[in-house]
Amino acid sequence: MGNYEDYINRLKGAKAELDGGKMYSRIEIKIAGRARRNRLLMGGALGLLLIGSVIYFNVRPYLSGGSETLADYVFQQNEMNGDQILNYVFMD
Amino acid sequence: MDFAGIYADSKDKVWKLVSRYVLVREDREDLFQEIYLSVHRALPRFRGESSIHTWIYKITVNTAINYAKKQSRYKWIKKMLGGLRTIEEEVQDIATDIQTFKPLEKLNPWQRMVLLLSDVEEKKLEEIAEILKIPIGTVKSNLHRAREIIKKEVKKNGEL
Repeated sequence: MGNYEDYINRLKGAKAELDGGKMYSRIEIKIAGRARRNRLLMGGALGLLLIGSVIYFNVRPYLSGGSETLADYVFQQNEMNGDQILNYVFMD
Repeated sequence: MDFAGIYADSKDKVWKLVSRYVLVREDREDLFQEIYLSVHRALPRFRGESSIHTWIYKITVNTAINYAKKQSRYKWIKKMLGGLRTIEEEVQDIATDIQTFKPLEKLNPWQRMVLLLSDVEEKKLEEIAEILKIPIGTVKSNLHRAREIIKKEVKKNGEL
């Protein structure tokens, strides 16, 4: 046990220098970096949500077979072909 | 207490434990920073149920164990890849106290932490069990095994 106790005493006495100021600066830099990263991630997520919702609300009517555009509406109401629709829409 | 105040108040204690737990200088600094990043992140959720020192101690110990587990995985990968510097080689670079710290390398992350908390930091077994959130029986068995390994290493290496 003697050797073990000597060893533990050496461990207790072992010194390692700490440059507290330098470490604090590094920690501050990392904190700022992580905050910036979080802001970017949040911005990215909101951007994707916005783009996704724009695409969704513009594409959905076509997928569900609705008649959301003027051309569709005119075609459905009057049973016109493409040329007739163009004439109808752009007629003076 | 604000973050700067907590840092100033606790840095020496945290460093003392970290510097005995991790052998390579760069890793110590890395772990030390990681601990305070965790403290900074968790600070808004600190409700003052325990003392700030106990709270920081818990964060230190748990971050250190997770760090050591990660490091041992890297060590295994480094060995697999071969040709790269191993942790042992890096330890050789530490100019001081190589012989003192080397036997600790033989312990797994839990054994090392339990040994340091019990025999170096002189914490009670109940306290260690609470900090590590493990049963007291597990603390005892880890401590027993750690002491056996260190005794064997000390004997093998002769006088340290």
